[in-house]
Amino acid sequence: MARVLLEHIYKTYSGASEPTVKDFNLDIQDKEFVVFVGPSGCGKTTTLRMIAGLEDITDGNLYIGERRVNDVAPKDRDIAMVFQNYALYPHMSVYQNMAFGLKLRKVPKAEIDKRVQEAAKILDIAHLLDRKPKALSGGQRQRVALGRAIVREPQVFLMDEPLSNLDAKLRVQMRAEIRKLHQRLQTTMIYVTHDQTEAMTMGDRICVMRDGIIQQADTPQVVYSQPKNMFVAGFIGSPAMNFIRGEIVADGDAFYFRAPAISLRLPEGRYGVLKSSGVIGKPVVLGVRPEDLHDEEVFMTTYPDTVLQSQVEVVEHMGSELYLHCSVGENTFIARVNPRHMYHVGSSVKLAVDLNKIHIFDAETEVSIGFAAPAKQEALV
Amino acid sequence: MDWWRDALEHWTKAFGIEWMLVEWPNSVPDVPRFGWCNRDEAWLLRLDEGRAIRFPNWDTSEQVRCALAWTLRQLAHEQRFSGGRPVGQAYAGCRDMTFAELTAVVAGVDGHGEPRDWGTLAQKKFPGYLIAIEWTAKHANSERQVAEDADIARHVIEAMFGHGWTEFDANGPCLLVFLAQDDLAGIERDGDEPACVGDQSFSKLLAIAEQLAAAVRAEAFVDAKVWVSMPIVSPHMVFSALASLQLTARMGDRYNRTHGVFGEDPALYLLSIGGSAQWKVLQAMLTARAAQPLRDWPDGWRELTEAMIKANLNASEAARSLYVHRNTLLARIERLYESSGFDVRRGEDAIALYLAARFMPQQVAST
Ligand SMILES: Nc1ncnc2c1ncn2[C@@H]1O[C@H](COP(=O)(O)OP(=O)(O)O)[C@@H](O)[C@H]1O
Ligand SMILES: [Mg+2]
Repeated sequence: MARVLLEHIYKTYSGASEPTVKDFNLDIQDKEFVVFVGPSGCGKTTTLRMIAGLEDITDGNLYIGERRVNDVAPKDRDIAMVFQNYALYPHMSVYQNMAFGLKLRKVPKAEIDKRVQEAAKILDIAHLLDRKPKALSGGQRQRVALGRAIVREPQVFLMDEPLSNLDAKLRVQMRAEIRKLHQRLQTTMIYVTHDQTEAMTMGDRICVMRDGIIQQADTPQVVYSQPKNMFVAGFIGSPAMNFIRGEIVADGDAFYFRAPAISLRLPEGRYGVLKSSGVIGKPVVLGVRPEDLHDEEVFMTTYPDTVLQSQVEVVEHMGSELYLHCSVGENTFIARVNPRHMYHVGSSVKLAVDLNKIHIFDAETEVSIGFAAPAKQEALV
Repeated sequence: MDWWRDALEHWTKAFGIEWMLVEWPNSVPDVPRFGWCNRDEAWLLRLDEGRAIRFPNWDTSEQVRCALAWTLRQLAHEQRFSGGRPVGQAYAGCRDMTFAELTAVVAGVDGHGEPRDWGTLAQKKFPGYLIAIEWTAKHANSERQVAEDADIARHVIEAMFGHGWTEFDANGPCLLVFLAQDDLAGIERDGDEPACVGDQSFSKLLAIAEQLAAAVRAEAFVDAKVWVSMPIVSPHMVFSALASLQLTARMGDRYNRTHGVFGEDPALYLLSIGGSAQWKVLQAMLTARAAQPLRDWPDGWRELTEAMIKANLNASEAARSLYVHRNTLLARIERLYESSGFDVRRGEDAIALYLAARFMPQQVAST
């Protein structure tokens, strides 16, 4: 059982002019499932490889358990890494495949047997141990591949995009399997993906990275409902959050968000935040998620001050939902609405903004002013 | 006991001639090992760097002398293999070569055509491929650790191929593996064969390289990289193949790949030939259209270009692969067009940008 602590970790590759990973600080609790997520090239793999010991740490301290492991060989760090392309050996049975790594390490036969049987039980593949990989379904194969790592009984599992080669259906299935596995094993897991949906559905905590810097590390709920900056706001969630450039204007006692052809009266409850953040009269970016734009009549009659008069530009049917690509003045955005409603391209549509869910970012720093109300527990995705 | 003594005595008795071991005269340069020269009325056969065998009064035909030299050379190679490993040594030599030298060897225009003895590799069934598994021994530089890692790599080879010729060079460290074309056909793959146009064996090689790298990484916990040579039709081609292996490794290293097969990426090879002068000219060409320096091009133009090429210039597909909205992508394309004069929706422009994008990491790395 192990906590993984990263303290001011830097990585500069030889020959590179600036660090790839910068001042990375994260305290990963024992038994926690943490996901590193971010666009390609942001340094996720580099960070994971430093934890594994496959990459030297340029600066900072890395602890696994109580031990500082900067200079400990990968084999001695008590970790297992799951590699996406490590397929099963076709000539070997499931049992042999799972036992392979232990045999190489000259673990005694009885011990190997015990561990393989145990792992097989956890993975529900005990009845498949004599089969060859060819006789397995895609999902079963993936479980055997996980079994190979489990039998090592590591303190920490490291996984770098382990599902990216799978087809969409199997990927969704395996996400759930890995979550379940984590619950059964109760072992610390660090998981890397560029796919925000995967991150949101799997992590106890997700760590959003960009250009080698942690942007935000928190529960999926918090990252989704209170993104710290525009990058996190735009990266997490699909379709992405809509951004509208404008400014905060005081008018009488009230505060408004104004942009060409848009004027939204902001809720009184949040005036305190507005005043203390010092954005009044300044350029800001308003962020609103597609599901926080409403086309229901009820909503519009209740909150007439929040209605945007828009033009439908594209209608995207997604089955269980409908994405409306709309424009107001020079701004375009996407609304996620009820798929039973009928829309035609070119027609006008009224959309009400749920002002309790909007985000306001300083246009210059792109940092959130903390306008969004704290998260209520809600079901995600 | 010297390895050559038995054979030499046998030979000289048969001819009834005398011989003696002497130092190789420094005044006589440029005679290869097992070459002859005539000095002071006697024949000298060069044994190695510092020694020679002198035949004081043996006047014989050139053919006989060649035969003796050939016998000793054979013995020497056998000897070297038991300790010195000829393939590994030759590969180690390739590592010291420049890109241009390697190119010459692969092209067969380098004068290395002389057949060599490759020890037990020569007895393998050709055609086939040489595979190099290379890694860096981090933290644990002890010889024993490196040998253990090599052992794990060998077991992985055995698990995948059933058997295999291997030669280990602890200095890489590097494990060289020979894989016969015939064996390749017999290798089953876990999972479904990919739909593949063209040569089945090539896609298999790619998959094997990837799988090998992943397997050695996972089992030995080392940063394994796996490279596959060009096909080797006969033992005469082994040296060229080793050079092709090293070329593949060089290109792979430059782009942080974990595996690669010779022929996988011809464009990369073209880009690798150039040096800093070529880069400067390319840069001038790229910035000629819009007169904006490269550093003022929008961030992410490389990723954008690569995504467009991979999506066959289909913006919707490229947008999906980048996880951005199509309109966002179109806006980026416009911005890139404004600052570069290249429109990645056009094939020719896209290719130019693509090559430029791929040329750049190498430059960044070398400056
Ligand atoms: N071995 C290396 N040498 C030099 N640069 C590297 C190396 N590995 C990765 N990089 C660079 O570091 C950056 C981060 O890479 P990586 O950690 O693989 O990102 P991610 O996994 O988030 O996609 C990239 O710009 C990549 O080119
Ligand atoms: Mg990565």
